[in-house]
Amino acid sequence: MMHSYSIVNATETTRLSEPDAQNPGNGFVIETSGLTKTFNGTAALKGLSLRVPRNSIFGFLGPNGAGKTTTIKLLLGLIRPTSGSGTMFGHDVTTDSLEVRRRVGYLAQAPSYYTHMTARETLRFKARFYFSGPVRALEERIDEALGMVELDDKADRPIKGFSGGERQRLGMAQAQIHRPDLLILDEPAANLDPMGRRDVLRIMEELRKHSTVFYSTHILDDVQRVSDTVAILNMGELLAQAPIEELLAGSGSAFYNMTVKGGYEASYAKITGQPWVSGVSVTQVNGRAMLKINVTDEQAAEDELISLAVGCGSVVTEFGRGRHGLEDIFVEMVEGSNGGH
Amino acid sequence: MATEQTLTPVKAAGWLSGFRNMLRKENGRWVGTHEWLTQSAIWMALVNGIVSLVLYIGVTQSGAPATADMIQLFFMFLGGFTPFGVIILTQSDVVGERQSGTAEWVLSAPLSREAFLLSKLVANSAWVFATMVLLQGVAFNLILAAFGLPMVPALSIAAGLAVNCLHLLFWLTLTLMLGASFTGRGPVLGIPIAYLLLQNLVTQLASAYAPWLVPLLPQSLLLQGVQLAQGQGITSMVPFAAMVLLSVVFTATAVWRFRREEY
Repeated sequence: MMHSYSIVNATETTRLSEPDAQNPGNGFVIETSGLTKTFNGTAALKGLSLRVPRNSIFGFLGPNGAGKTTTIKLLLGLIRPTSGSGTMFGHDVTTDSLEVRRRVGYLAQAPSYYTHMTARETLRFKARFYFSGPVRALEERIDEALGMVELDDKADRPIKGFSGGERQRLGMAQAQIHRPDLLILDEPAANLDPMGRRDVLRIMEELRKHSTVFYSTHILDDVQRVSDTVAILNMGELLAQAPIEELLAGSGSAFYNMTVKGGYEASYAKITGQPWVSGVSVTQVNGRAMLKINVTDEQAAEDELISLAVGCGSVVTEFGRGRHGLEDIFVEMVEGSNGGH
Repeated sequence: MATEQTLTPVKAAGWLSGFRNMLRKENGRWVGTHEWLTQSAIWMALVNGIVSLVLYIGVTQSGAPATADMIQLFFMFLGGFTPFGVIILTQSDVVGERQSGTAEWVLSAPLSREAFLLSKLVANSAWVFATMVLLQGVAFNLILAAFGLPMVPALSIAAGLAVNCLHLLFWLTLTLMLGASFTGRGPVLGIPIAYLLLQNLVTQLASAYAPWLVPLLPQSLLLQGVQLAQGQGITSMVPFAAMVLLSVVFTATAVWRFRREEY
């Protein structure tokens, strides 16, 4: 399968992503090489080779069942790889998992806590895995975390009564209570209303000041808003990994948007017939037709498209070069890897 | 910033990593949810309540019963009932945490799997011994005194109670091992309860067909406990050795299984 994006070729990446335990400060906080996980004969992850740059917000994209959570659990030592290896900060994720977990904060997709505890007690419990010291200093840290996620007023309420959004915010607070070098967030904004999502994204941007953020999601708007590097996973295979600008800029065929008033059928037929036009889709809104025209020759498109439409009697009200969104790229890649279905 | 200067990273490594914090949390569960009070009250009613009733009927109708008989009765109820409580109380410790997702959460922190299991065993043992055995033993002696019967000498009752603690440790470790081995609560609860219900039959069958097995059964240990509390000596060390060995084997198996568990 070929894409015009920065597709990661498994063989190439294997060569690039050799674990570097001797040099943990090489600019990558996570490096995996051929990481594979099979459940009862079914491969959930197939030879994943990934590199997550230090201090990035790394979006790990993929549809449900792509292998995102499996990858995260492998990194945290919650499950063992069938083959392949991975390092975080130069420590092997399987044999040196405790050392890895000291430097990582984790928010699960559906976080669970001890319901007899309050939010404050939960943070105190979590913090004590990492720190000892005067109670006052610990409480200061907890107050800071509660303030950051705006749970100060609910700090002493049992978690049992928390809403989904409040639980998620508590999840963010507990994940960063020890100011980890790396935050791993599994679908942090899934199942949240728009306000909840906005809060979570705000917190993620806050956390970036201290940590690298590696998060999985299938909400592409969020990725485009906050990420600087993304990887796309489908059916256990890595399809692409690149800085987001690179992914958007290198997104294959160009397309143009044209809005016409009045009849568009003649223009549509004329444009579709051009040899440099690879496809045209039409959306009608309020008596106007919006044509998305995929082309193989950008110069010809810019020189001729408007005159072709005007020549057919259409009134062109808007025309411009289109820019691929992450969603276009994601859908195209995932559908491509699914065999076009 | 003050916080940065005063907090120091926890240094515990290896199998002890996270043990102290997890143990504090497990103790907090007993205290915070008033579990200790509930268990104390349940066993006070079930064990000493029945003993008191028997004493009251005896004293008011046919004269005070012998202390030795009351010791036997007390230890019979204590050894017979409390294993059910231990199994019911601890059956969801591992399975419940696995099902609710809290195990995944705490194991994503620097907590070793050994520490996760052992913190539960240590906290549960301490609270079970305190509420189900020691408190009941003290209360039993006070009840004897209240009815005008001679109290059991401290050393004798302490020895009897210690044997009961060992007996409960057997059930605690068995339940822990089953919890680490199965994903559902059914077998964790069902296997030990079934054995408890059928243990008289098992003992009879063992006596008939494999007498060497009898001293290895938990019931044999309870008989030693009664003898000790009555001021008699131990007739065999085999039940003690068997229970200690089995408890160690169950704990080791639980750790071995749990280390292989995936979340």
